[in-house]
Amino acid sequence: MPDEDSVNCRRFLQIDLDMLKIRTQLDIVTLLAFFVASASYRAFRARTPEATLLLVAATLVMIGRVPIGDFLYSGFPQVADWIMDVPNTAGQRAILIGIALGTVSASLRIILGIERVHLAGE
Amino acid sequence: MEILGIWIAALLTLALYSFLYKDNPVYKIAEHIFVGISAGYWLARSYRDVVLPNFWNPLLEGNFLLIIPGILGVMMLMRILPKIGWISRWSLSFIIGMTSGLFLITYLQSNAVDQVRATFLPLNSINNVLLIFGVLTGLVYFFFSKEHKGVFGVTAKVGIYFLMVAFGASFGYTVMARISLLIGRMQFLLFEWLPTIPLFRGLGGG
Amino acid sequence: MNLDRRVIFLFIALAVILPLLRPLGLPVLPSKPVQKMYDVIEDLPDGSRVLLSFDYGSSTMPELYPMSLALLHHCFKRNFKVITMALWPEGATFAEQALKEVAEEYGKTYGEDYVHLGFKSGGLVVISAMGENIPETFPQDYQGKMVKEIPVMNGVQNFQDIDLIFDLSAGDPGIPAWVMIAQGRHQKVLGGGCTAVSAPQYFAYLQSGQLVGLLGGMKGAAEYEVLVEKKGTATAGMDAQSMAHSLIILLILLANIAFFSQKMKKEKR
Repeated sequence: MPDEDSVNCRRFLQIDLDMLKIRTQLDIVTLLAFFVASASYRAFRARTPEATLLLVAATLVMIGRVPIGDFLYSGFPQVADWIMDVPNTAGQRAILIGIALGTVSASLRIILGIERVHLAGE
Repeated sequence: MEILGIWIAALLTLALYSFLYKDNPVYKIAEHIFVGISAGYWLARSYRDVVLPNFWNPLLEGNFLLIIPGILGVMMLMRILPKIGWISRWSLSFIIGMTSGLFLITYLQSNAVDQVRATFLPLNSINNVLLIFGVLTGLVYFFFSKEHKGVFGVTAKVGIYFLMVAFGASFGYTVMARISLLIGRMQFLLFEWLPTIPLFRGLGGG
Repeated sequence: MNLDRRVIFLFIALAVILPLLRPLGLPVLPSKPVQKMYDVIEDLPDGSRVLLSFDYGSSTMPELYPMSLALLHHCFKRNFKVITMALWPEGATFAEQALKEVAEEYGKTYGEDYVHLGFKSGGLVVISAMGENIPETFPQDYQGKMVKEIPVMNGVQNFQDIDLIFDLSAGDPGIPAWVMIAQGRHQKVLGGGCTAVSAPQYFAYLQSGQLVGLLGGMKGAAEYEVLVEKKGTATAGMDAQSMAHSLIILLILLANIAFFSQKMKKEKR
């Protein structure tokens, strides 16, 4: 039976390590916030109709999803809602169905032994 | 002791953020500490949360059936030895076979059949028409067995437009997520770390 | 227009720090998916059993932890029996911490009003097993007590004995797994809270009714905090979120104005 002190010491180390790990992991991820902002400025251009659609949708969602959007113009949240509910749902659903059909066909190929890449080893 | 933890975390934060100015040895040290802590942390955590409760403890209690998955697990680890790496294929085959058998139908049901069913909407509003049209044209875009030309090509092009709006929404939400994480970190620095320095006590009402 | 990226970094840092120090107090309005989730929980009768799965890790804590607190406030305020669990190892730690923070405020007792089953590895397989038998899937709770001997688990055999399942999801295993098994196979009422990154893809589940409500990211958490009248870190961060978004939009606009003016100049030549 371990004595109480060593149990407490282990518990303390565990808690401290938990906290340290949690916090440092967050730091690495939060660096991305800065790079997303920088990349938006450098690479986000309305060069083609497709890129323009992406840019407009992203901008409207960004402004419509934060309190300042509603403060500037009450229609922004509604526009963001509409983008999320209609074209976004349609696009995401097409992707979801596409992935589902692809996964099922890949699984069938594996089960039937047609696909053997996972057994290839190295 | 809590203050010591806060200080270590804060100094590591600042060391990592120093990379934003330029790459430097302080950042490198913090990065290596992070990698080391993470590797050790996950090893310990996997042992404590996965191996002990799912394998070792029940085995000691007399559940000898667990020897089979235990052996399969060890066989999986053989992958790191090039000469006998082929042994891992047995475990891998078991996992893939079991997953396919257990979840193939459920996956198809939830992500394809139910999604198609939800798209059969009454054509009584512009939004419903757009949703149906968007799903159909999006699916046409993903159909690569036929060359995207003529009417088919135009339909696929419309599909791309819907997908672009979806990607735009995803980008907007991604920005939101990254900023949220940064806010979380700044809240720690401003309201947990800075108040430990007497000069900044009372910051943010804390 | 060439702007040093370090200048952009500085602006982003200021856009986040200044509103945290001097909040503007802009009102946070609940969006439809969040309001729906709130209404579904609000409509459950007193004493309902709610299962919360903490499927996230430390890297998404600022988004999902405030959400966890807000949901627990709502559940305890409505006198529900709360069962928590985790499919991510760190999720179990967060669940314990969140329960500790909220339960006491409502005078709730561990074992009588709530239980924490802890972490179980296996994702989809665990959910599948729970659909058949919860006490067999989690024979012991997080503290090592036998689940069958815990009063709040009396009469809980499988998903049929749970009134609502809510998944706090940061990826895989997460919402898709719960949709497939709990909703698809067992037709359970399922709600979800997720990181903002993954929220758009789950709108397809929301429209189809596979999810009854959805909380997306810190904004979703802030909206729920407002609905349950328990303002926390998510609401406090919303002004900073507003400012940072505004700055990024401004940068995108500036870059595109410069891009088009250069393009026009070239065309003139």
